[in-house]
Amino acid sequence: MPNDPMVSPLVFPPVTPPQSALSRRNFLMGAALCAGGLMLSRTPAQADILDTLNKIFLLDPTVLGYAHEMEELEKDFFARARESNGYMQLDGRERGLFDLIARQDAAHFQVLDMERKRRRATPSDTLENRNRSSSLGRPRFFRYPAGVFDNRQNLLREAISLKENVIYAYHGAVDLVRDPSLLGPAAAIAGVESRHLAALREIAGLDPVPTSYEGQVSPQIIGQRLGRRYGFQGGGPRNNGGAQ
Amino acid sequence: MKIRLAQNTPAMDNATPGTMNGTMPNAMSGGMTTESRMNMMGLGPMIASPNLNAPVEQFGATQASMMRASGGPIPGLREAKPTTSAQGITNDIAILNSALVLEHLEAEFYARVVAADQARSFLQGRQRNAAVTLARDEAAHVLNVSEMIVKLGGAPIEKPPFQFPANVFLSPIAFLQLAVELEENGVGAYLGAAPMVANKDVLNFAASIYGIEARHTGLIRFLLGDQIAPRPLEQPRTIEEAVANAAPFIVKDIVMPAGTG
Repeated sequence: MPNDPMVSPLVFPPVTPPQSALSRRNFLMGAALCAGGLMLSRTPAQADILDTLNKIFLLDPTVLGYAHEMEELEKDFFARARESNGYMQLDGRERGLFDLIARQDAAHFQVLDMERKRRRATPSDTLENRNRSSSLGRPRFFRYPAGVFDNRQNLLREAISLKENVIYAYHGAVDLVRDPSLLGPAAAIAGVESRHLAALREIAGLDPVPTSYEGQVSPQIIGQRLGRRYGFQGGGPRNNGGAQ
Repeated sequence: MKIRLAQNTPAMDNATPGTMNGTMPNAMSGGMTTESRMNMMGLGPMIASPNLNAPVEQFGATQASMMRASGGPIPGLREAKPTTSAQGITNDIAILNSALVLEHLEAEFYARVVAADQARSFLQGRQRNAAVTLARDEAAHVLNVSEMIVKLGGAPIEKPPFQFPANVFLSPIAFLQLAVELEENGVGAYLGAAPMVANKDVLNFAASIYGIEARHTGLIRFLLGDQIAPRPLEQPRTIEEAVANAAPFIVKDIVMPAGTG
C-alpha cells in the first residue's frame, strides 16, 4: 500500500530490544511482578527503582506489538469484508463506510508498523509463517468463524464486535503505556476507531453511543477473546501463522 | 488563568431571534468579530436563551443515572486522589476546568436543541435520537468533570452564559454542522491535553470521555452525510486553541478559579 500522505512519521528515541522475544516475555513478567510489589507502597527511592525497571524491561514495546497485531487483524478483516457476499448486500453508503474503514485501518497498521521498525523491535512472527497463502492470494494469518462474511447482518455484527474489542483494549492499555510519546499516537488511532464504531452501530440499527463513557477492558482479556476467535496472539511469537 | 472571551452586551439578554445586537470582539481570533466569524461560517445571527438554566435542568443527573449511562463505574473517577505532585494536581485541575468549559458549552447546546425540537419538531427521527443522546452524555460529562475537579481539591468553573445562532434551532443541517464543529473541537482538545495530564486516574477518566466524544463526532458526521473521519488519525488541539474556538458562543468574560494556574 502506498504511503498515505496523511500519515506522518513518528519520531521516538531509539530503543535497544533484548535478543530473544521469549526470554524478554519471561523477563517482563518477572518485572511486572516486582513492579507490582513496589507500587503498593512506594518511597521516592523505590519510585526511582520502578522507573529504572520500566526502562530496562521495555514495557512499551510489548504494548506496541500488541497494538500492531490488533491493527493488522482489523486491516485483514475489513480487506476480506470488502470481497465478501456480506459486503455486496450493503447499500452504497454502507459500502462507502466499509471502504473508508478498510483504508483507515490499513493506515493505522502502517503507522504502528513504521513505529516498530523505527524502534528496531523484533518482529514476533517469521516470514515463512506470514507467507502461507490463502485462496485469496494473501498471507494466511488470522482465521474467522464460519459465516461472518456471508451476509450483511453477520458482517455488521462481526465488524462491530471487533471494533468494540479493539477500542476497549486501547482504553484498557492507558495505564500500561509508560512512554508518553507513545500515548499520543495510540490515542489518535483510538479516536478514529470510536468514530468507526459509532457509524457501524448506526447502520446496524443499534444505539451508536449506548454509554456516556468509553469502556475499557484489560488488553489481556481482549487478547484472550481475540485469540479464541481469530487466532490473535497479542504481538507474541507465532506458532503456526494461523489456521485453515 | 483568566480567559478573556466575548464582552457582555446587555442588549443580548433581550435579543430577539434573527437580530444581532452589537459585535463580540474576540481577543483570540486575530481581531475578527464574532459576527464576521459567524458570517464566514455561514451561520445566522445569534440568540441567547432568555432562560439559560431551564433547558439543562431536564438533563441534570443523579449518580445512579450516571452509573447507568456509563454502563458501570466511570474510569478513574472513583479512584481519583491527589497522589501526584502539587504542581501536577494544579496543572490537572486547570486542564479539567478548560475541558469543563467545553463540556458546559456542548451540554447547553444540545439541551437547547432538544428543547427547541420538543417545541417545533424540526429534527427527524435519527437526528432527534442523536440530539437526545448527546444531551445526556454531555450533561453527564459536566457533572463528572466537576466531580473530578472537586476530588482533586479544586473548584469547578461556573457555567458561562452561552449564545448560539438562531438557525441551529430551526434547521437540522445547521444543528448538525455546529455539532460537528463543537465535537471536533472537544476531541482535539482532549487529545492535545492528554500528554500533559499528570495523574493517571485523571488520564483514564479523560480518555473515557475522549472516546465518547469521538463516537459523537463520527455519528454526527454520518448523519450529515459527511465522511465520518476525514483523516486516519485524530488531530490534537492545544487547550488555548480549543477554548478560543468556543469563545464566540460565550457571552461573558470568565475567570478561572484561584489556584488553577
